[in-house]
Amino acid sequence: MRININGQFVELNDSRLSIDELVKQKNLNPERIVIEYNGRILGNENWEETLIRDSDNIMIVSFVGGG
Amino acid sequence: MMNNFTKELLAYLGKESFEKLDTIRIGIAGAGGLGSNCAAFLVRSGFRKLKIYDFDKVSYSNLNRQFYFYDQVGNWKVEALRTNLSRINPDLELETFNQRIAPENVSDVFSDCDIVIEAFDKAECKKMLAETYMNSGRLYISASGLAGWGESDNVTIRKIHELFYLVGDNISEASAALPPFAPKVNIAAAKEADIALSWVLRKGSLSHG
Repeated sequence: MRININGQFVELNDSRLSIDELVKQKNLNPERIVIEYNGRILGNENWEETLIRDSDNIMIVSFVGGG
Repeated sequence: MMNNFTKELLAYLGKESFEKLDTIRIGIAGAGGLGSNCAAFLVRSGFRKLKIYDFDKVSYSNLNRQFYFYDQVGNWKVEALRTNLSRINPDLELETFNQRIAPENVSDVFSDCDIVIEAFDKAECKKMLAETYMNSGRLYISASGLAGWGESDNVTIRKIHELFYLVGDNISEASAALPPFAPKVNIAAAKEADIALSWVLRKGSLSHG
């Protein structure tokens, strides 16, 4: 399936991939990223149950410390 | 309320722009390197209504980058910042809160603000605030990656979407090995303030839910 992550189109082979698994695949720190899924903020508690589908639009914003 | 400082601002800006800045309320999460300096830039620019949260006290190690002074060490940051900001404009409408922003109160703290500026230290807190305010209809300005020195052109502005801007290089995490220093911290704080200033002057007020 073809999805958009941060403005880039990506082909995914997994047909049953959750947001949680995507985060793990990308080696991201769940406590330091915000995920917007098809225009809505997706809290960490929903990542495991949200399965990625064709044409999904995912934005991942990550943060580093300092300020 | 007009004083000699605001009279000069009015002369710079003209009535319409001055009034836009005068009515906007800005919430600032954190009064450290980003927050204290950003607040100063906002006040100098003519914003009068600020709401600032910080739980910490001024320490000597803050003085390399934060808008505090030697004789303020030991004071609560929000109180020291009130003193310093009032020395720029004595007639601010400033609300300060000597407390943490946490999951229990994060949605309430800036519910009456038009613009929210993230000035936290911890990445986890940046995430918490972004999730609450980045899609709230308010202008949301955050910062990530501003430690060290050199390559300051890498402290850029990324427009995530129409009402969410992220300032920083998103890489330079503050640490013992890469401490934050005044120039880059101030560049990031100034960019946060400039986004607010230009957004208000170019677009005016906004409605939010």
